[in-house]
Amino acid sequence: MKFKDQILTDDCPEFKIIFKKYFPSLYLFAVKLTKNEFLTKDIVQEVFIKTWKSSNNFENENALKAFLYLSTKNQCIDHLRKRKDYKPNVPVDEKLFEETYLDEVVREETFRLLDIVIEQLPPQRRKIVELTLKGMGNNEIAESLQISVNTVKTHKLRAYKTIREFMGSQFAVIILTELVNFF
Amino acid sequence: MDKIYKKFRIAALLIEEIFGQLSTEGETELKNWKEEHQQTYNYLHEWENYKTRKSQLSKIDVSKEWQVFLRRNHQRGGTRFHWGRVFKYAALVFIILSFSSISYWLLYPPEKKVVKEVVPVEIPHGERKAELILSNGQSIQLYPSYVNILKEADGTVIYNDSAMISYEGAGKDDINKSNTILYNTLNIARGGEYFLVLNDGTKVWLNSLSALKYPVVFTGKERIVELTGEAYFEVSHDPAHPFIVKNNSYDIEVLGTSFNISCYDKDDVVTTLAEGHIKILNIKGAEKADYNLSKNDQLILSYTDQSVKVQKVDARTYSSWKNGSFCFENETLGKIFQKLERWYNIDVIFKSEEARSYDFTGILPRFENFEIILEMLETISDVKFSVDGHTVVIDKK
Repeated sequence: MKFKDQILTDDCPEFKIIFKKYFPSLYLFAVKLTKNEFLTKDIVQEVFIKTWKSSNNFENENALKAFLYLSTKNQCIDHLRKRKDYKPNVPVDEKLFEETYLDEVVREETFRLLDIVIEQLPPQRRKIVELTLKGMGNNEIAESLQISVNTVKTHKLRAYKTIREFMGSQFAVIILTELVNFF
Repeated sequence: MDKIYKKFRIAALLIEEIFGQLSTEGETELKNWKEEHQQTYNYLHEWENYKTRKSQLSKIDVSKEWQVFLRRNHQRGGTRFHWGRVFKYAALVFIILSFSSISYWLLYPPEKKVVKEVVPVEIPHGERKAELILSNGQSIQLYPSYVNILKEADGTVIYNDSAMISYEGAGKDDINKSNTILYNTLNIARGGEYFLVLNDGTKVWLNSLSALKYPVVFTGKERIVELTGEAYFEVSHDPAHPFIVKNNSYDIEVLGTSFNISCYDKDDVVTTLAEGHIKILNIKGAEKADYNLSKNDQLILSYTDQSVKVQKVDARTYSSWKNGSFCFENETLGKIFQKLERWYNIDVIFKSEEARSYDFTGILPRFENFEIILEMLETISDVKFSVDGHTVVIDKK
């Protein structure tokens, strides 16, 4: 049946949005694990193809996100095992992998969330976030920008509200299988 | 799996901390994590690291990657592409081609063509496009290639990307400020379709020549929307707040289920239930009872005599349009062309009234140009078509 091809070549709006949202993050995440920029795009592509073909029903975006990160990690391990210079007597240090990848998830997710909001902030608020990341407290920020501490707090609250709107994402229940298994 | 969820939570807490919005519980949770992961914490608090990541991001062309994904997925079985080999063959083919065209050119030098070429008008398939009317009356054109982030007067964020528009409610304090309900309308012209996610998570696929009016945030006891045309609903489950689809002929009440409804002007009103249960009430015209439908039930309110008929069907046939194909089961050519008219923005004339009632069962691709559709119909049925501009004349063979 041609239908299957069609739905795959045609843009599936939901999957495309997920792809565009997470491809960059998964790529950066995988580069950290493989330390190889050239092959990593391939790895992440493979992850998305698997996700598309998998028959999982994802309850919400968090579940899908977890699946994507875990698949990327596994794909990276596979890749390291298959590498040409891989010698059987030097196995991939999987234990180390398990420890480091979770830290990388925190790093990437935090920056990803920050990214969503930072671009949309007015310059003053962006500056405040930047100074916070540089380790400055509210008092120091207020002093260096010549504004009151309360203004700094208000700016932070407003910036946080912008990000909240995106964190409580509504794209719940993503049923990928329904589309594929139609016929 | 649990571990990774915890990390997502840590990321959210870190954000809260950066913006000074950490609760006391959050603070202890984060403190525990910090003790073991001081290095990661420090890493995240280096502006340089953020900037480095930013420059790495700018090197990724996501649209290009999406095209790569589509291409790869197209090959069945998910085998990897061996680019090296592909390039080698491509180069070879290119060399052969250039040789043959050079020799062809040498043997038969080009002559000037005198004959004027008649270029037939191509009728393209419909597209994903829509018009959004905001509560202040402002009109915005939506296309798949656009990303729009809009804000309604009550703070609701409207997000349009990749042929999908969704609503994300603002914080609670923002909503309380306004008492009036704000409505948006999504209009789909002939030759269009669009996908919408309402504020409660309900998904709506809208077909050509349709319009849906809905509140940007559902606030009252009931979730009420108004439809003309055709749509497929996947209503998110919420028994406390029934979801009601109103149209010119009747109301459909649901708690959480999926169904297709077609309610075009001067046509039968057809509701087909894919999952769960729905209730049809307030049927206009003569006094009519309410109807409870279950899976694969179809209720038809006839346009010609206002009669009501309930029958069993395969509901998937009636929602196939949202997945990119037209499915027909013993459908008359007359009805089929009503649908094609809306999607291809064409006008249809039946020269033979008999042809109008011919039955047809099959599947037609929605994202093919019209010529291909006609070719497919012509080969399997006893009709012939002639196309003049955007008018199609249908006759017996």
